[in-house]
Amino acid sequence: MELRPADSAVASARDASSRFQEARVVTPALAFGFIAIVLVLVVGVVVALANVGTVYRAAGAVAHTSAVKTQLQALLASLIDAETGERGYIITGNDSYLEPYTRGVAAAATELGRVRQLTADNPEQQIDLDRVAAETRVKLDELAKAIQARREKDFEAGQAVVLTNVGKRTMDGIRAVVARMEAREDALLASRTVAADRAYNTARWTALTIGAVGLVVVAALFVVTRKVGTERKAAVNLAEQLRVTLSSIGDGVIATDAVGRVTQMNLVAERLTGWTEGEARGRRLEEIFVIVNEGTRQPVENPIKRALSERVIVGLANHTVLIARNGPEVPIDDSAAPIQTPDGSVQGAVLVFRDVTARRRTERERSNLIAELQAAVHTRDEFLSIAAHELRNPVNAVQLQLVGILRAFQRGSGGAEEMGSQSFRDRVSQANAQVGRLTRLLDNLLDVSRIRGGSIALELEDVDLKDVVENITSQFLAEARPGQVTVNAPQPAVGRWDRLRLEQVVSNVLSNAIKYGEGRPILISLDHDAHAARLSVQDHGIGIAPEQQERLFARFERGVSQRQYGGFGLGLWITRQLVEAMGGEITVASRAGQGATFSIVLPTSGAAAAERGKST
Amino acid sequence: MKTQILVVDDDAGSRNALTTLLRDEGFTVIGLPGGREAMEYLRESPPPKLLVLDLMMPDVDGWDLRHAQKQDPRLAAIPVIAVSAAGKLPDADAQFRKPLDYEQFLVAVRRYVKPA
Repeated sequence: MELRPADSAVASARDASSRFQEARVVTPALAFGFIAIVLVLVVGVVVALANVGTVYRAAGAVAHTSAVKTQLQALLASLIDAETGERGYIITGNDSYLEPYTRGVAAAATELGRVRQLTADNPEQQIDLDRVAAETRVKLDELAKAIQARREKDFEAGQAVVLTNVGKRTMDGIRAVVARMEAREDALLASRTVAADRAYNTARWTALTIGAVGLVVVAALFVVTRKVGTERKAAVNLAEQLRVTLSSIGDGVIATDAVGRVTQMNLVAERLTGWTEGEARGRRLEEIFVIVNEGTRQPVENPIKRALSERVIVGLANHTVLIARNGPEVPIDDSAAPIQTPDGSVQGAVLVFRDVTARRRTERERSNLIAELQAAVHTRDEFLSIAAHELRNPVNAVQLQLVGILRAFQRGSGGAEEMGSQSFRDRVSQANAQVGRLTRLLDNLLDVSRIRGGSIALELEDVDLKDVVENITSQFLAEARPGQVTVNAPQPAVGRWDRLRLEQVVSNVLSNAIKYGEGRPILISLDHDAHAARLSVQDHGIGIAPEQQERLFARFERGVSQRQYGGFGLGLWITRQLVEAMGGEITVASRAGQGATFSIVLPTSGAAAAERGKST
Repeated sequence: MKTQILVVDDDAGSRNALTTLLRDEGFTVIGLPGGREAMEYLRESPPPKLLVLDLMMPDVDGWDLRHAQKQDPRLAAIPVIAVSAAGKLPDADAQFRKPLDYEQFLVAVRRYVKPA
């Protein structure tokens, strides 16, 4: 099928819609990108927090280990202080040497409490700490016993307590347990340092990974955003391009939504409907686009309706007229198509229509021309048939006369005597008259083509119309009844005319009067003045109805039926052409059944007058 | 003498030639220029033995005349030969087209009329 403007507009609308669709597909990608960035940030923050916690805890653990070790060393130092004070006192017996002892005893208790606190979460250290506490008590008891012995007795008694070696053993025990506790703390420190390193590494890699992912997502988002921007720009450009295209289309275009309300219309549509786009938008199409059948004036169904309901392209019925808002009517041709998205849903419809006034006119002219041509062909065919029939009568008469002559010869009486007889002479002269009649018919036919070709050659000379009338009348005496024709021509009427054509004119009018005169009297009158001659031929025959009178002078026409009155229907047409060629005029006055009077006025200056008439 | 053949034709040339020829054959012939004249003649005179009719004539034509003849019991039986440049008379006893084939025409005439 040929793609009409309407269809291509629909196709481009469809294309545009699919491009808008693509633009819409990009937008979720954009949203996804933003969601991804948010996710990456959230994950990054959570992981970073977790890693910071781990690193923080590892650092705390290292500090804790150092604190435990410091406290343990402080415990040992306080015990050593206490022992130093005890030894000084034992040796001197001087109470002032007990000061380090007193401080060390107090500090040891404090340090023990601190270590207990610091290792409260470690059962192994607590157990060892219990041992250290027990040994500390034993050590402090031994120191107290030694001091008591020196104070109560003497140096040797104090020395004896020391020499029991309980103090040294206890101190060695404490040192060993403290060393074990320190080693345990060191082991803990090592593992905590590894954990801290791991946490740091994890944090670093996580940060790097999240940073990289973030960068990728941001880059993707940038690309997508750019694409969306480009698409949106393209969509806007396309929409603008479509709008311009729509307004430039030479046909009227109206787009509607899915329920048939106007969404858009172009300039041509505005001009044809009489509505502006602003006024029409949102109204039902039936309100804007009022169409009726040209002939019946019945409303025509709006094609948009079917396009929407059946989803097909609908052409308009022929002979539809659009009635504009302000009244004017325009014959139109149109089609409507649904606007479908690629997924098949109908978003609306588009109506394309055009003013076909010129085409209708051309069609009408063409059909008129065809009718005229057909009529002309019909006339020609009819004329040929009439001509063939018309020629039959004179040929028939000639043939019968010849048969008579032939039979006379066959009877053996065709001698000089027979040939001299009246009947023989009658036959020959009648045959001759019929040949003359045939010649006139043929001349008429020839005249038609001459006149049609515009080449009536007139041979002008001084002619007396009175002579011509009398001469022709005498020739027709045989055809008329005796005394039927009266000539009233008191004076000669001389003018510059073509004698033969003038004879043809008088002969045609007179033969007409005889043919249709029903045998009743015919009066030929002639008079003239300085400028013109007037000839009238009046019969009392069948007459001509007024409505037939103009047709009378047309070619191939006659006032009566061919069936009853033969003839080519050319006589009066030729007569009129000849009279007008000589600058004259022929008219008829008649009523049906009451005879007819043909009047011919001929200027005495003949063709010269005709020439003058033409030049004005 | 009693008329045997009535020739009705508005074309004087054809009518005169035909009546002369038939008289030469020995028939009694009258020629009339139209249907109206023929009807008058038939009403007032003894019926002829044969009607030779042209069809296309002004006023009362051949078809009209044939119709009127068939309506009149006194005339209905008269045989009719139609001779015409155009047209046909469906119930004619014989049909001839102008120009006339005279020999054939004479055979048809003799079928209905013997020379006086």
